[in-house]
Amino acid sequence: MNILKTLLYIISIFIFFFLESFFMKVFGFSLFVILTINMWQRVKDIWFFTYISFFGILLDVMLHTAVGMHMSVIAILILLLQLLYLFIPKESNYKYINVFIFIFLYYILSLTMNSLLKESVFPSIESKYLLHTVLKGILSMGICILVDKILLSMRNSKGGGGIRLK
Amino acid sequence: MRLPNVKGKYSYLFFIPVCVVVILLGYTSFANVLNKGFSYIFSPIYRIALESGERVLDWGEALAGVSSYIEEYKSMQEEIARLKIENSEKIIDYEEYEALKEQEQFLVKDSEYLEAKVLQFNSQGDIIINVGRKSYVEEGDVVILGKAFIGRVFDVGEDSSLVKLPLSKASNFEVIILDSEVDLNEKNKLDSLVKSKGVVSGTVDSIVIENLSINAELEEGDLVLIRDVRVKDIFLLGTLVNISKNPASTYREGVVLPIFEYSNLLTVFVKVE
Repeated sequence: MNILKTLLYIISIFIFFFLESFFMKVFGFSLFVILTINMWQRVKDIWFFTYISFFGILLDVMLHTAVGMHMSVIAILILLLQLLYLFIPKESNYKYINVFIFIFLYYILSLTMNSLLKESVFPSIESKYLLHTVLKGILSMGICILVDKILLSMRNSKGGGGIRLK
Repeated sequence: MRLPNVKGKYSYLFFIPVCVVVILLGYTSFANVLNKGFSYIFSPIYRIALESGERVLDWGEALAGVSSYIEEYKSMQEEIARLKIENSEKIIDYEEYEALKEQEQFLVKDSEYLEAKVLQFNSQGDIIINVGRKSYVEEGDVVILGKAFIGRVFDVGEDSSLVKLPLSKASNFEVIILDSEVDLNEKNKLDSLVKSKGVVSGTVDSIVIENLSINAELEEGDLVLIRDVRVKDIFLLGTLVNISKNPASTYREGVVLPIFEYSNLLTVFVKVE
């Protein structure tokens, strides 16, 4: 059973990397950040940081960005997210604003940090790029809401089954 | 008891020094090791993903510019139709006519020809054209392209008409068969050149010709011309193929290969009386 699970995880890595590259190419849109924010505090920290480290370095290598850049951006954003939760709690109706900020800053910080780490210059961020990033943030936020709804409905249906058994 | 709780709650803080270490390692030769390892495994997937993405982008661009492609496609079809007309002109040796307008003047000078665009092709052997009652089109009017027969107007609306092609099951005409070498441009007495008479009828997929004389020396590629009282003039329909060879039969039959692919027609002329 463990072998099967391991095999499944390995295949998932390849599929996920394919999808990440594909969406990046077509829409300039990252699945990595969506998965990251959805996994945060939903899986054990050890698995979460393993995932961030592995995919972070993988993306750095394949996208020719500075090694450790993705990891660092996520680390900073996780820190920021924890701070944001102080103002907009996780249980709040406005919790998705945090998600939006997280994703929006991911794109901005990725560009900035890569430029700083690789070329030691601050990148010029144009209004067009900002607009695209806002759109990507909104879209990603929509996906996160959808994922939450699906997870919630799955949980409810499991709970409902339990009641019916009684 | 307190330490594990703190560790769990602020574990992300421990991750920051790890990131710094990785960044620093990136400036060492360790980066090359990482690069080789990951590239070896993931480069093919990355390339496939990018190629797939590129294809999707190409399709996206194609879809975005689809209106211009349609225009281009239509103009190309017009060009194909024009070339086919030129080809048919060669068959029947219309040397002096290149443009459709010129052809219409040539055909029957006492007739008026109305240019019409094909709006729709129906797989049942009908076309809808963009001229109708307002343009004095009447039921039974002949629709042609150059010297080639396209069909007859079957139903007339205000601004459009339904034309039954020879492919339609509702179409049947009397025809004559001439040798493929006959020069139709010369003013010959056609009756002396007729190999056989026959009747064509549509079967949606093809045009069948029947009642051909059993004694006629018919050959594949002979010209099939419509000579029907309802059409009032002689028009080229196509060439004869698949001639039956049944000696027991009292007549022969075959298939007419139209000189046009009707589904590609864009412009036709209605002969208005």
